[in-house]
Amino acid sequence: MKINRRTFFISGLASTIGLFYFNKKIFYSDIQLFFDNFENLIPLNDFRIIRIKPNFSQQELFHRIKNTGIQESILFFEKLIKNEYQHDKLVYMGNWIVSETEYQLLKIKIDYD
Amino acid sequence: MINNLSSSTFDSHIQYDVCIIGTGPAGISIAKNFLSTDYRVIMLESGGMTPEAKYQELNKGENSGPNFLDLVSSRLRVFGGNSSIWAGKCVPFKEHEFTKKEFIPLSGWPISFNDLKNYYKEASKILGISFERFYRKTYSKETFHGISYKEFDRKDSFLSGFAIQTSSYENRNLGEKFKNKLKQSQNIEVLLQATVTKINLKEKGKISTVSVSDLDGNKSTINSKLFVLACGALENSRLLLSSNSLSKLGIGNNSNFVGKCFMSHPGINKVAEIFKFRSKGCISKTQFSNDYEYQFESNNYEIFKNKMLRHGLVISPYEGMSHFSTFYNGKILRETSKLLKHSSLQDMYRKRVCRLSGQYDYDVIDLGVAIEQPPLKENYITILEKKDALGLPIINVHWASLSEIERRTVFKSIEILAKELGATGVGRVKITKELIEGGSFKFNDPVNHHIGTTRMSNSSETGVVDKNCKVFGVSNLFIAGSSVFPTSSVVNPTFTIIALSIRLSDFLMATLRKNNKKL
Repeated sequence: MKINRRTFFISGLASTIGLFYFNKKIFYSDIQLFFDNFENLIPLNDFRIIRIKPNFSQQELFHRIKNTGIQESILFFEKLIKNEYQHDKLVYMGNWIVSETEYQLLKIKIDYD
Repeated sequence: MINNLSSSTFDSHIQYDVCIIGTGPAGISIAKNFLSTDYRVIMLESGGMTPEAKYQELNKGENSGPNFLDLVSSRLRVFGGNSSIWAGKCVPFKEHEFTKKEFIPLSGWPISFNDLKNYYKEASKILGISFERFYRKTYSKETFHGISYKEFDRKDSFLSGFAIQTSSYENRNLGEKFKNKLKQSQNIEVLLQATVTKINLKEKGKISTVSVSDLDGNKSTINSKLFVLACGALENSRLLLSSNSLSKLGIGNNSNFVGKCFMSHPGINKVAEIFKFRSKGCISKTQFSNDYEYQFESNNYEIFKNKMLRHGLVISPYEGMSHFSTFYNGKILRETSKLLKHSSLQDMYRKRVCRLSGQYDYDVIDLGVAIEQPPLKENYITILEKKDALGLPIINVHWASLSEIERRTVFKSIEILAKELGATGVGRVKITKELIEGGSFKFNDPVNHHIGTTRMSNSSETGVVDKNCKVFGVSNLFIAGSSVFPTSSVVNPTFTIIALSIRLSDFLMATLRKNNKKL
C-alpha cells in the first residue's frame, strides 16, 4: 500500500490527537469516578476561595489515581484528612470547618462538577 | 409540725437552735439531718403549701443588663421551693473545678472535691440515683441521636463526657417527699407564709432575730442560736443587702461582694449543624433510658490548653428546613440525580425501615453549647429604692454580655468537636452564619440556674462566706445553696447544692454540740 506524505501526516496527526483525547478521557473519567466515590458533605456552592498554601496539585492527584487506583487514592486521602483533623490543620471555608487537603480536593472537584 | 404565721398555735417566744430561711432543696437537706434530734429547728417559708400568685409577686424585680432574667417564674415561693419544678438532672462537679485556674480570675474553691465526695454520695441516696454510675465508663459507649459515643472513646480523642442522671419526680420533689416526716416531727417546725423581711444583727457580729411578715399584716420575730439563709442566690443577697440598719452595705458585705459574681448557664442554641457521613445503622430510642444522658465537652487537656470554661455540647435532631435546601441551594433537579446516585437503594431502604420502626436516623444534627460563666463583678444584683408589698426593696439584676472567655469557649468548643468528628470520620461541622458574624451570642436558651452572689472564699477580701458557709464577720449566720458557689461549672447545680447543704448541716450540728459543751 502506497502512503503519500499527506496521508502520512494526516494519519499521524489524527492518531496523536486521538491518543491525547483518549488518554485525557481516561484521566477525566478516573478523576470523576474518584470524586463520585469520595464521600464529601460540603456542597460545592458553599465553596469559598481562601488563601492557603496548596499541599498538592491537580496533576499530582491525576498521577496518584493513575498509579494507585481510585480505591487506594480514596483511602489515602481519607486517612490524610483524618490525620489533618487530628493535628489541627484546619481552615474555615465560609461557615464550614474543613481540613486543608479537603479544601484542595473541593477546589479541584469544582472543575469536574 | 407545720404552721402558718397567722396560726394561733405558733409560739413566737421559742428559742430555736437553728432557723432555716427557705424550704427548697438546700433548706430541706439541712433540716432532714436534724429530724429526731434534740435540737429545735424552725424552717421559714415565704409561700404556702401550694404556689399562690400573691406570694410569687414578691419575686418581682428589674433587669438592667443586656440579658434578661425572668425573676418571677424562675423560682417558686412554696414549701419545697424549686424542688417541685427542677428537672432532676444530677451531675457532680469535676475535681479540677475546685482548683484555681490562672485564666479564670477569682476561680478556685476553699474546699476540694474530696471534701464533698461523701456528701455527693449522701445526696445520691436522697435523690434515688447512684453516685458510682457517674463514673461507669461503659455508659460512654451509649449512643444518642445518631452520634455514637463509642467512636469518640479513643486514646487521642479531643472530647470527654459527663454522665447526667435524672432523679425521678418522687425523689426530687423534696417538699412532697419529706412533708409528712416534717409534719410529724417533734423537733422541727415549718412556718408557712412567713417571709423574712429583715435579718437583725447585733453589734457584736451576731444575729439576734429575723423579722417575718405575711401578706395579711401578721408580723413576728424568730429567735435562734444559728441562722441559715437558704432561699436562693437572688433572695439570699437581697436579704443581706437590705438588712442594712447597722452597716450601709448590709450584712457580710465589707468587701462589697454580696450580690456580685452572679452566674448562670447561658445556652446558645443552634450554633452549628453536624453533618454526618453515612449512618452506620439505626439508633434505637430505647438504647437511652429516661434516667440517663451523656453529654460531650472538650477534654481537660483541651480546656486548659485553650483556656476555656467548662461547656456542654448539646446535640438535638435537626429542626430547621429540609437540609436539601442547605445542601443544594436551588440546584435541586440536577443534584437529586446525584443524590440518588450516591444513595444506594439499600441505604434508602434502611432509612425507611429505621423511621417506620420509630428509631433515630439523622444525618443532620443541631448543635447547641451551654457554658460555665466565670465569676465576674460585672454580673451583679443590687437592691432598688422601690419596695415590694412587705416593704422589702426589690432587686435589680445586671447580667452583662458574654465576656471574651465565654465567646472563646463557644467557638473553641465547636472547633474541637469539628476536629473530633473529622478525625474519626463521623462528620463535618457547619457553624451558623449568625455566630460567625457575632449575632448569635445572645443567650437564646435561658436556664434558671442562679449562682454566685454570696461566694465562698478563703478570705473575706474575696468572698462572703468561709469554707464552712459561715458569713465572714458574723458568728451565727450561714448560707446554703448555689449562691455560695465560687465558680458555676456547667452542670446542673442542685445536686451540688444538696451535697453542700448536708455538709453544712454536719457543721451546724458540730457547732451546736461544741456550744452546748461550753455552757
